[in-house]
Amino acid sequence: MRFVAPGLLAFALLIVAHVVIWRARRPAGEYAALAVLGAGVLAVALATFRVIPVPLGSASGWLPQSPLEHITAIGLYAALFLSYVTTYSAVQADSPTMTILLLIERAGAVGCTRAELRARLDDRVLVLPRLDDLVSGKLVRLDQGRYVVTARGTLMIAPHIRFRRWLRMEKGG
Amino acid sequence: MSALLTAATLGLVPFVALLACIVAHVLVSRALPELPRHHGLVLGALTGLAALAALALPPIGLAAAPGDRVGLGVAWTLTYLSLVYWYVFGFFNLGESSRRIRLLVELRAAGDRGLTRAKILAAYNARMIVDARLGRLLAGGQVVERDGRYFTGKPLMLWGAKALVLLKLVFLGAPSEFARVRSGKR
Repeated sequence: MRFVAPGLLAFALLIVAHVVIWRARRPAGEYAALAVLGAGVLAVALATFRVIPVPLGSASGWLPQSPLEHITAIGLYAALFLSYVTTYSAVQADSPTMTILLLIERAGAVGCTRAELRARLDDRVLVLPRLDDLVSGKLVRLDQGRYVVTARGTLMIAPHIRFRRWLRMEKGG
Repeated sequence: MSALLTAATLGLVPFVALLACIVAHVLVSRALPELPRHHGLVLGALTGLAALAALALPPIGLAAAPGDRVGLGVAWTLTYLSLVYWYVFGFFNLGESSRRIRLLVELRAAGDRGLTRAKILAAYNARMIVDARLGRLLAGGQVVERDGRYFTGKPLMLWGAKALVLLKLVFLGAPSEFARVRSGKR
């Protein structure tokens, strides 16, 4: 219990804080804000775990006490946070695959054709918003009508290019 | 200090297992390029799980009291599975299907001169995206084709898509990013 509950509890707190804050006001730099929130919730949780054994008395048996219990809780929380951010990225931007599936389902018994899907999902829906994301995230700059990768963009893309080469896989997308 | 060092070392167990998973995935992908990609990922994840068991079983008896061993094992397994989820969907799949990553790849290849919007759309456009995704959905059986029309097939991914719509409603207050833009929110 002491190895699992603290990490899960801190993670549940993160989800609640995320929903409440984002519904009230969605920050501009979402992922940086989410990272700050993640670190803040962990700090608050660890501080609370140190303070509440006194009022809880014998009911505090599930709280971390030893260094291993603390480190296990932090490791579990960090891993859950990474998987949470991954899931949130699919929430934040519409996935073409999921959109295609939903469009086909909505078409019902008559189904839909490739041309109908292409008409609904054009460059203005699938490509240009992501290009705008890159510019607003300062990964790409717009220079006299030309899109140029910034140093930050190069830093972000390098591990992916290298990793695809290791896997011997072609360009994705 | 020694207890802290031991704890820190043991805390790395799920992360080392993730490393084993990634190494196995890379080796399988290089050795068996014809293998379906999701099979390579499953082999990698299973290798990591075996590494987790091999790394965890010897020290777990010394590190935790008998009543706590199951709890520690569960915590490490949950940590490992979350890390694998991140690796598959947050790292590998970005290179596989992320439009932002693909756009960055095209722009980086163009160097300091960059590309105009028209050149970008010639290299990577919605038509290519729809065709590639539809191809994957057909290959996976999530979509079936009859007389040139497409229908839903295996429902698992469709349920995932509906779950994402629910999450969008919770977090963004709208079922899609474009619904938000249309309503003037951001």
